[in-house]
Amino acid sequence: MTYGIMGKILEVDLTSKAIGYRTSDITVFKKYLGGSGVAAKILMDEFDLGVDPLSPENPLIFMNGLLTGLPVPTGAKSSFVAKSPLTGIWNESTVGGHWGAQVKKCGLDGMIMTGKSETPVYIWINDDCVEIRDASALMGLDVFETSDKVKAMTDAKAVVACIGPAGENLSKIAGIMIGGNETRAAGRGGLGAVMGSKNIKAIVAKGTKSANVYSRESLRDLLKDFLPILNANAKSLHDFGTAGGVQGVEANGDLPIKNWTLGDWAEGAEKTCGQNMDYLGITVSHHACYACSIRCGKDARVDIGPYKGAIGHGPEYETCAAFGANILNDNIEYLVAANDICNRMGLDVICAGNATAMAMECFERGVIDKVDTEGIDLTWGNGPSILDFLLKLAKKEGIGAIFGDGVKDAGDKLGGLAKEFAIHVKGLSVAFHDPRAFTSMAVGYATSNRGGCHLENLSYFCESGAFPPGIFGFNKPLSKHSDENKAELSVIMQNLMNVYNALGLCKFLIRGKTNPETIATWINAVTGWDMTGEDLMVTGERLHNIKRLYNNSMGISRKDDHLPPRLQYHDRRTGAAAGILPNMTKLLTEYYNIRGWDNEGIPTPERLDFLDLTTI
Amino acid sequence: MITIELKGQLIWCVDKKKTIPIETFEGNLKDLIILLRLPESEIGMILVNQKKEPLSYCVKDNDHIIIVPVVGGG
Ligand code: SF4
Repeated sequence: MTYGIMGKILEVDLTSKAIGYRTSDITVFKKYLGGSGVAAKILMDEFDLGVDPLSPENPLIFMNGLLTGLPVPTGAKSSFVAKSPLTGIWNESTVGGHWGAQVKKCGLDGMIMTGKSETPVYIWINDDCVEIRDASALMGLDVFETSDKVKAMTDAKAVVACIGPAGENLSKIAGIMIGGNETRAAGRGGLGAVMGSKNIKAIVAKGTKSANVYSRESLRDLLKDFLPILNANAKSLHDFGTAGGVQGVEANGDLPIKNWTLGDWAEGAEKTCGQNMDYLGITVSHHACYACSIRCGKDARVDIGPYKGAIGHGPEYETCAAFGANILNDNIEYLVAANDICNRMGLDVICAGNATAMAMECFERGVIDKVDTEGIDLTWGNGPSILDFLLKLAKKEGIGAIFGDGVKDAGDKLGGLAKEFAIHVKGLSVAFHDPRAFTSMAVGYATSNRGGCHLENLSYFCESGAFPPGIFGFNKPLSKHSDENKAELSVIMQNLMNVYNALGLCKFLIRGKTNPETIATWINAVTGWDMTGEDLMVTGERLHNIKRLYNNSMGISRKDDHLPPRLQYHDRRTGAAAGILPNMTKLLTEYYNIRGWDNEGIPTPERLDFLDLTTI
Repeated sequence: MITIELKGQLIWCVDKKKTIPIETFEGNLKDLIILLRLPESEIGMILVNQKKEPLSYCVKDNDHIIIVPVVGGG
């Protein structure tokens, strides 16, 4: 009997409309755990990595984590994986909600979508029955409308993953959106455009199966003591969502302000945080992903703009930073409306927010003017203009044609000074945690496999005390004003976060002070394996390295492992992180040494041998 | 008299007060955060007269205490 996984992966060829299955190889799952780990192995073994990301030859892989859809805390996450049209390198985009769990209920561990349909389609997975159906009636609809309509065409209880107009328009900052107006997003890296390029408007799943668990009793026993600790430590997340962190981020000098140029914004942070949305009654209810007792999801009422009166998934921390501090907008109503537009249009809020900030700086400096914007007044903090700009972005019309494929592309199109304002690593906009506040993030961003991603190492949680690294045995001193021990912290956290992604666990699980040993006991209860915490960390290292090998084959090396100049050379004058800059030479050299990579950032044969990756 | 300065989201725990003077207080920092009903899991660092101190630090008269939250967000 197979435990944990369902044993089957769906294969859909959109060109021929052929539908097939492959057996999930348990040895591959044991070595790569699932999710983006197993997807990386499949991509590396079976597909040409040199393809154009928006061509039919670029497969879009969806893979559940080993623990997705199981009664394990936060076991809700799964990954979409493909070569990114935004960066041209490795991309994984994780998402929660109820999507992965529902796919598992259909008896599937994942899906591999290849080719391109001539006409728009949606894929309807109804337990064991899979159909490719005509989606012409869905085209042009936004994410909320698509979700509602396709459920009416299939099953009211189905879960929907779809693209909005941004994905249809092949915007390279389009995400794959889950759950209609309770939106969760596989936002990063432009995978909405990959889905759009295949002419897939939506994937719909409804199933009735459940995975075998080796020992439900042991699992229950293990979780009995753990859950109260998690819930107590994550209370603020439950009460106010991730947006409840805006002020704390600001107080630590970690909040990007005015396109990453300023150091403090306390009054603005107070107006644009989750506590204030709660206080003003904008937050109307809570919701949770599958198997999560934290319930960080918030529903918010939209009080302004074209969708006034609607209720949808409220702004999370990244959105608050994107459409608050980083564009100097302290009007919470416009912030909520901007979030709602991104969710409806299917835009990644981090990329869309960075693009908005860049456009405003270009406008201020005269790089673009009202002729370019067709009258949109892109002065800092101008609420109505933000909404107009986002709608253009999704359609790639007018000014949206310049910024609709992300900040790097906009910098290349505008040239000159504009490139200075494009805050990205390897083409992916940097997420809204400033590496000048916690410098382990500097080396983390520079070496993250998908580019400017904060979730690949999450070490700001460690440096700020939210997840003390002593929990996983790292007891070396960490000081805000020194780079000492930061590279090592970053390596360990990247390995751990790779494990989280491959297992399908939410990163906020670490608020339960969850160490690898604890997670290994859950895996063993689910699968009957005998993994240790140490095994898990070696697996995490393997996963980081296989993705690095993918990127190395795309030409990525030390020359690409850097921050945008603004984050590397420009210190800030005020705030809790004033004057701090990361020493990237020191950080990278130490990082490569610890990783067992050579000076150019290529894994050495000895390290690959240790990680059992020599055949890749 | 001691003065407590609250940073970040911690102000919402005490009616949005940013500074709290306390005439007399006996105990350590842990006692103080219990008195103020601040959630311990949300506290990243406590500075007493600009120096980082552990929860076991015994509060003295004239101390200026800054309480900084952990970094959350997603
Ligand atoms: S903490 Fe939030 S994002 Fe994570 S699984 Fe729970 S509800 Fe989902």
